[in-house]
This record gives sequence, C-alpha cells and structure tokens, in this order.
Amino acid sequence: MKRIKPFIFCNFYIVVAALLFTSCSDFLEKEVQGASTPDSFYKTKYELQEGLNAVYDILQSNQFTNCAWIFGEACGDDVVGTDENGTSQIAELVNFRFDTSNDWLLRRYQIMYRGINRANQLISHINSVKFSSDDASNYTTVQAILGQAKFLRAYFYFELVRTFGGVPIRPETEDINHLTIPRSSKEEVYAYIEKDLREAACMLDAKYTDASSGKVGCGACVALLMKVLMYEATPGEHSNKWEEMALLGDYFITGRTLTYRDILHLDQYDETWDQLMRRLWFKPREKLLSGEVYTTEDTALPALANIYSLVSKSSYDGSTLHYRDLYYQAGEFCSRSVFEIVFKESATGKSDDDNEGMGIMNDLFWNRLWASTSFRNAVANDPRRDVIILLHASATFDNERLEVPATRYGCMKWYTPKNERPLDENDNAKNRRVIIYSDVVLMYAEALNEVGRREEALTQLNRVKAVANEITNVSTLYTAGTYLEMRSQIWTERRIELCHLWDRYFDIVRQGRAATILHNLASEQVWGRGKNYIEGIHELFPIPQTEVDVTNGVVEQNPGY
Amino acid sequence: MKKYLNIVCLTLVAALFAACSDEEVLMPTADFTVSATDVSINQTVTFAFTGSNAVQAVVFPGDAGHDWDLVNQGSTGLVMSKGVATYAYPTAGVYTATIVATNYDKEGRESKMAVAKVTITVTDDNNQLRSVILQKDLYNKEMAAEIGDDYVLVTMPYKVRVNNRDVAVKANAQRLGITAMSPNATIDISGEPYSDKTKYDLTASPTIGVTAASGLVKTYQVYTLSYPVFETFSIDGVAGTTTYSAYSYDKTFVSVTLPSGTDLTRLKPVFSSADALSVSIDGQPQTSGMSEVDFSQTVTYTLTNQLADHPECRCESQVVVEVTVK
Repeated sequence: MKRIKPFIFCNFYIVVAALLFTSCSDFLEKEVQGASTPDSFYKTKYELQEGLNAVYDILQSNQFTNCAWIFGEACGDDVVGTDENGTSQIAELVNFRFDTSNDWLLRRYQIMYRGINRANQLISHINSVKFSSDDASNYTTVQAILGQAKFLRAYFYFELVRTFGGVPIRPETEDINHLTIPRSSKEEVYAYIEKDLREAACMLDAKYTDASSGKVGCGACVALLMKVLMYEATPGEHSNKWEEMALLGDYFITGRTLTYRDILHLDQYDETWDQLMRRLWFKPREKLLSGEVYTTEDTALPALANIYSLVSKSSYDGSTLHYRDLYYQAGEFCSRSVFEIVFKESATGKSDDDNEGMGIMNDLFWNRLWASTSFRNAVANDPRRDVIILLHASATFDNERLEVPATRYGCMKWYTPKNERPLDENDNAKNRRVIIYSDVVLMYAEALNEVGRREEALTQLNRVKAVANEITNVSTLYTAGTYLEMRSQIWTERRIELCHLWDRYFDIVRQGRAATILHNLASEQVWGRGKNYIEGIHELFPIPQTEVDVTNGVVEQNPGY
Repeated sequence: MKKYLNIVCLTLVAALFAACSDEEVLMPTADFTVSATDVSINQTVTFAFTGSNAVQAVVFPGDAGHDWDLVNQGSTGLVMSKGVATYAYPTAGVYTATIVATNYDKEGRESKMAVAKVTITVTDDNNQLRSVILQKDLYNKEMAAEIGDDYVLVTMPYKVRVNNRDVAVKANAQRLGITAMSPNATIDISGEPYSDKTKYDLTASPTIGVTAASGLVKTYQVYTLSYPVFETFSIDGVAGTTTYSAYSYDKTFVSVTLPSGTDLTRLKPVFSSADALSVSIDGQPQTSGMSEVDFSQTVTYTLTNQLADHPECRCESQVVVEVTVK
C-alpha cells in the first residue's frame, strides 16, 4: 500500500491545482502562519547572518564550482582534458564550436544571478534590523555582514562581466512588473562592481581569523578591486585604472597609508558624508558615546602589508609552511591566502551535499584535466615544476604512487595529500583558493610596469620568484627590461605562479592574446582544441539563448553569435 | 477512499487531453525573414520565423556542420525557440540557409514538414593590420610599432642596454611579427610574401600589403624614426658619457664630472643632437651654450623628433643629466 502513495499524492496535487485555477474564494489567500518572507525576515542580526550565509552558499554549489573550472581552466592552455574530444556540451564549449544554447553558458549566467539575487535581498533589507541596545558592536556586526554581501555581489558581477560583457544590473528590490532589464554597458557594470568593492573595503576588518576565518575582509576587497581595475585597463594603453592599481598596491604591499577619501572616490557621490556613513552602517555621530571615534574622510584603512606575506605562515600556529602547503589543508587561511571558498566535511558518508563540493576537485585531478605540453614546457626549468605537476607513476611528496592515466601529468594543486583525506571519500572538503597574495604582488608589478615604474616592477616580480627559488635552492631571477620585456616576464611568472587556479583563460583574454595562444595550442591534440577560436568574437561568450528569448530580445546578443 | 480519489483524478486528466487527440495535423508553412543576405564574416545574421502551424522551426545556416542536405550525416541546426535565431558565419562563401518547419501530433504518429531556403553571401574583405612587432632580434627585446591609417611607424633607439652594455640596433636587418585583423588575410612586404624568419631593411621604406580573402588590398607605408639622443654633451669643456636605460627605449643618461669647487647652479651646457627638433627642460626650450641650468640636482631634458613630411609621426625621448664634482 505504501508504494503507491506517491502516485496518489501526485493526483491529489492535480486536484488541488485544478481547484486553484477554478476557485475564486478567498480562503486560500489567508496569510501563511510561521513562514518567512523577505519582509518578515532580516529583523535580527542573526537573521542577517543567515541571509549572508545563503549568499556564501552559492560559492560552495557544484554549479558554481563546475562553471569555474570549465570556463576558467578548461578553456585555457594550461591543461588538456578528457572532455575535449567528443560531442558533450563541455567539449563544444572548450573547443569554441558551441552555439548560444550551450547548457554551460546558461548555468554560469544563472548561478551568478542566483548569488546576486540573494545578496540583493539581504542588502535591500539590511535596515529592517532591530537592536536591543545601541552597543557599538551591533553596528560593527551589521556593517561586516553588509560589507561581505557587497563583496560577494561584486564578485558575481565580475564573473558575469568578464564572461559575457555588459549584463543587466538587477535592481536591489525586484519589481514583479518589471522583471525584464536590458543589458548595461560593460563600463556601467564595472562601475557598479567598483562601488561595491570600494565601500566594502571600508566596512570590513583587514582579515578575519580564528572562528571567523574564511569571511572576506578588507584585503580581499582591495585585491579584487585591483583585479577588476586590471580587467578594465588594456595592456599598453595609458589609463587611470593602471594608476589606481599601482596606488592600491602601494597601500596593500608596501604599506603606504590609504584613506577613505582615496578609495571611495567621493566626488562621485550625491550623499553627504554623514548619509554615506549611515548607509554603510557606521555608528551615527549623534549616538556615539564618549571615547568612541567617528570615521572621517581622512581615516586610514586598516594596514594590510604586515598581514599577508609571500612565505606562507600557518593560520593555526604561525609556523612557516612549505610552498605547496598553500594549496592543502595546512595552508587554509594562511598569510598567503587572500580569498578562499570554504568547504566543509559533512561526515555523512554520502556525496549528496553540495557544500562539501570538492569531490569535483578530486574528479578533476584523477579523471579529467592534465597539464598540457605547452604548460610543461613553460615550467620545464622552473623550481616549482615538481610541486605543480607530476608524471603518472611518480612518487608524490607524501609517498604515494600517482595513478593518473599513463603519460599524463597531474596538476598537484588539486591533489589531496593522504593525511588530509576524509574517512569516507565522499565527505570531501578542500578549500578553493581564489585570490592568493602572489597574485596581488604580480598585479602590482604589472601596474607598476604600465605606469613606467619599471625598477619597482622588477623588484616586486623578483620577490615572487625568490620565494619559489627556495624550493630547489636556485637563484635565477628576472632581469631589467623595457616595457614589453617586463610585461612578458610578468605574464610568464603569472602563468606559472597562478597556474591551475581556474583563472588562466580569462587572464589571456584580458592580455589580448587568447587567440594567438589557443591557435598555438591547437597542434597539441589531434582534435586541435583552440583552432576554432575567432579573435574579436570569442573573447566574450554569448548571452544564453533562453535569456534572449524570454526577454523577447530586450537582452541583446553579443556580436558575432 | 484513496482509490476513489485516484479514479476521479485520472478521469479528470484524461478528459483534459481527450479533446485534442483526434485533431488533424495541418501542413506547416516555412516563411521567414533574414536580417541580411550579404554579410561579412562573423557578422550576426538574424533569422525570424514567420510561418504557421509549426510546432518547431529549425534553421540550418548551411556552412560546414550546419548543412540541411547533410542532416543525416550529423549536420545540426539551431532551434528557434521563440521564433528567432542568430548566427554568424566564420568563413567566407556562398551558403544556402534552410528553415525547416515541422508540425506533428502529440503522440508523434504523424508529422508534416515544410522547407524554405535563402542564399547568403558571406564575404571577408577585412584587410586591416592588427599589430606589427619588431621581434626578439634586438637581443631578446621586443618593440611594438604604431599602426596608422595607411602607415606603420617604427620608432627605434640607436642602442639598447643588454647585460650592462649598450649594443647598436640594426635597423636594416629586423625580423617582423605581423598579424592582420582577419586570419584569412595574406601579408606581403614590398610585394614579396611575408615571413617571420626573414630580416627586412626598415630604412629602405618598405611597404606592408594586406590582401583580404576577397582580394581587396590595403598598403601600409613603413616609416622609421629614431629616439633622439645627445651625440655630444659637455659642460665647461668636460664631455659627458652617455648610457642607455635598461627599462626604457626612450631614455638615456648623461653623466658629467666637473672639477671640485665648480658651482653647479649656473652652468651652460653645450650639446648637439642630429635628430632632435626641440630640446627642453620642463617645457622651457634650451639652446646649446646659451641656456643656463641648475645642475645641483639631476635634470631631465625632453627631446622631440618628427618626420618632416608626416608630422603625425613623432616621438619624444628623455635624457637624464647628472653632474657631479670630483
């Protein structure tokens, strides 16, 4: 009897559905008791925190993670993969012979907007919170939540704009009658992202530690802001984006003071300082107790230079870690990690929990992606080579025979050392490093080169290399050069130092050399991934077809599709 | 009770669908509009379905992999889910785009199909240059040339600094890295096929020709210009020594060592530069042997150069002068 229960329920729903459409009586319109709506939720700081957790939750989802490696890594030239040869949706995408209905385009678009929607709900309701006291810590708590939500919203929009170009900017409060929003220009989206990051940087502690490890802090905001500016600027073209990147690097890396006025660009605001401070949840001037200080335009942002370092210091005991540990559990939240996505072991023995997520990384490592010949050539003489990639059947540093397929080189940043493996292999947890400190230093070096401060650029570049040199005790450094040579040295270092962090494809697009690099890659495999890449078209992916369709063309397609 | 509910439900659902089951499958028509039939490569073409009685409409653009005639050999089309599909042809050619409208009943017992075709001509007449780079022959150094409407300007230093030595640049034997906007275009240098292995004499005013796939040709004249330097620079008869910057092609350093006791604040350097049209410090024009300069700190001269018959081809260089006393 029990077995047919679902069938009965199914029919029962049809009847209810039929009733819904036929009946006009109002007994169904009564308010549901005990359910949360956006207007009844967000009343306490704990509910705000839950709302923020829901935004972070997107980062842990399989959909977000899968899109991250497929677009950021599998489309690039550092890896070759088993997914390339075939007719799957992934194969069509990474071979650039997809059409606008490719599933992955929609998945990437969708998951970002899901994150943006959750962030928007939280941000638009932040002012409904009530306190029992006017304690300053209450303001700090709400401010930190709002700041993180702004960072995450900016991060989602950044992923969208570098994938699709200008996209619709959703209003913070959605109006059911105006759900169709046309695309904003790339510049407008970037301006929106910048504003969120600038404000978030002012609202957050330098870096959260201990029980709060993994929350984004001021450091992550400034790092992402530098990255955003770098994507806005064009290599070789003078731009105030490069100038500001260099300034932010002076602050982040060499410890120069940066004030709220410097980072906020106050001339772009209609609000007065007091209004701005109130919106960003600084404790209002009139409620300050004696001894509490009001933030002014000249208040300095928290110092970052002494918090991060190129040599990894453990977040647990402060000990100095090996270069490779940054990518393993020992290096979680360490002094070299700026922004990472936290995954938790569920301990359920099942793989059904999205938020443990990193089964994906195991799968990538053992079954899907291998270092490309082009990448192996690039690291052939680098001290990091054996830490980054390892040939089939070699012994790993923790003495395991590496059983990736024959002749393949595994990408060791995705490897899980033996002592970090959960009791059940399905309970995976391995934080994903998104921005590391050496990325910030190399962005700084690139900006310095662009603005003509080349000696300093060389110093920063060699700081990164010097730390890598310690692995095998070598002393080869980069040499002085003019603009193009410095740039090509910095890009060489970026490729090796930041490899396999799922960012390579977008980096070469930004550098304006994706077509050249991918066309060269095409000779590596018989099926020639990369040969279909059309310069001037494929730098932007098409807007998913369903989005064009449901808006009846209000959301316009990118040129060339 | 549950059984009874079940039967009621099934009847209800059956009744909903029963009415439609015996309808005749109408013949669809495959009318459509196309935004353009004469396009360049990678230009978006929009197909809009205007036919009737179609459950599904699919457009086959007609190029490789999308050919209706080869549909049984794996060719695919684009489904027009809202009656609109866009496509851009990556290769030049004449293509027959096909719209296939299909109508079928819900059980899939009967289906009818109509087909309409249009010829689309795709041309590739892009003959623009994308970039010109002096390749790494400059002792592992690269240099980008500036691309104008009908010219390419190569600005070169006389020497480059390599391993703490200044090495002369050979403008008459340079390998070039040239790319056109369109990968289908061909490139020639003064009429000869271009090769990235050949060394070209840039001082002989070569031309770069770009021929589009359609045969349309565009010619760029190559001009060369040198970053001006001081061939001689002396103060009170003491000659300065010049070194080149390792970080910039447009920067040189001159150092002069004067006898002890010399007042550095009011000196009149004597200099010459074959290329410089103007010499200035902070915007103030300088005349050799006439202008008085305070050398108690390093002083940066700005030298400019331009082509006489093409004033838009110009460049600027910096000379940093440091004067010390013994």
